[in-house]
Amino acid sequence: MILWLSSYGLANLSRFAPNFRSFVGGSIFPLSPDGSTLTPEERASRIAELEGQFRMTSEQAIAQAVAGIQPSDPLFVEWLVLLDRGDLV
Amino acid sequence: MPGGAPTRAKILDGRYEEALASLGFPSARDVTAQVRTYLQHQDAELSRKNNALRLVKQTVSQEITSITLGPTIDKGPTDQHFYLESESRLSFGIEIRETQGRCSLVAYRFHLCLPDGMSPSFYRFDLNPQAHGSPLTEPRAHYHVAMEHIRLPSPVLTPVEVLDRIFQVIEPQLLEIRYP
Repeated sequence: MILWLSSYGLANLSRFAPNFRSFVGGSIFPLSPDGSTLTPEERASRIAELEGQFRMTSEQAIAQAVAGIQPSDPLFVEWLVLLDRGDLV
Repeated sequence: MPGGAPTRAKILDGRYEEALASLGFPSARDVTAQVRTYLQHQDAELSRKNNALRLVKQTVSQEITSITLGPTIDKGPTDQHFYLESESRLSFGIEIRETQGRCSLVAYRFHLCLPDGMSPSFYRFDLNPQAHGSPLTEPRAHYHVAMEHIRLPSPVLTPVEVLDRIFQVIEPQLLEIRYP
């Protein structure tokens, strides 16, 4: 069974049919032109911001994570994921 | 007695580990759906509409899923933020680990920036990915009130519980102040 709803319809489903919403669980997929993942440009822009924030290159960030001396900061985890190094988290 | 503060802070950090271990999530996909649905629900009440489905993005690397909304670092208003009725803007990042059928919370950062002229200027709820060497000044789960270097301990909250505090505790007070 597939329900094709607008975002407003989804909000109403959650509000007025919480049991059904619970049944659907995590099987909600947005259909939009840009999808729900970051574009390569967005990813590059975020990585550049993080390099500026932590004042180090992405290579240095990976080296710190490999050595286990990375900062304990949620942003650093996001950075490693953006670099596709979730294995270092 | 005051000399015991670092030890007490370390014990508190240990309790965070237990709290995190007790939290169970079905899957990262479910957390994403919960967060999107929560924001959609809130959006339906707002005069200025956001598009939560478009704003919430997911990135996966190995066992870690990152769920993000808005910029990594808030440097001012963007069209990627989620705007509340008070004109506060929300951005966040949530990291979830899925491994061998288990799904656990790794880290989060929820940043709520208040409109210009309001005090405090921001609230932020952080869960660090690991314990810090000085848990007294940087507890693993903490919140900031307009001060980057003052981190007050908070319980480990689920992402939806953080959103509850933003939308149902902070926001109503902001609206009362802004539109008495």
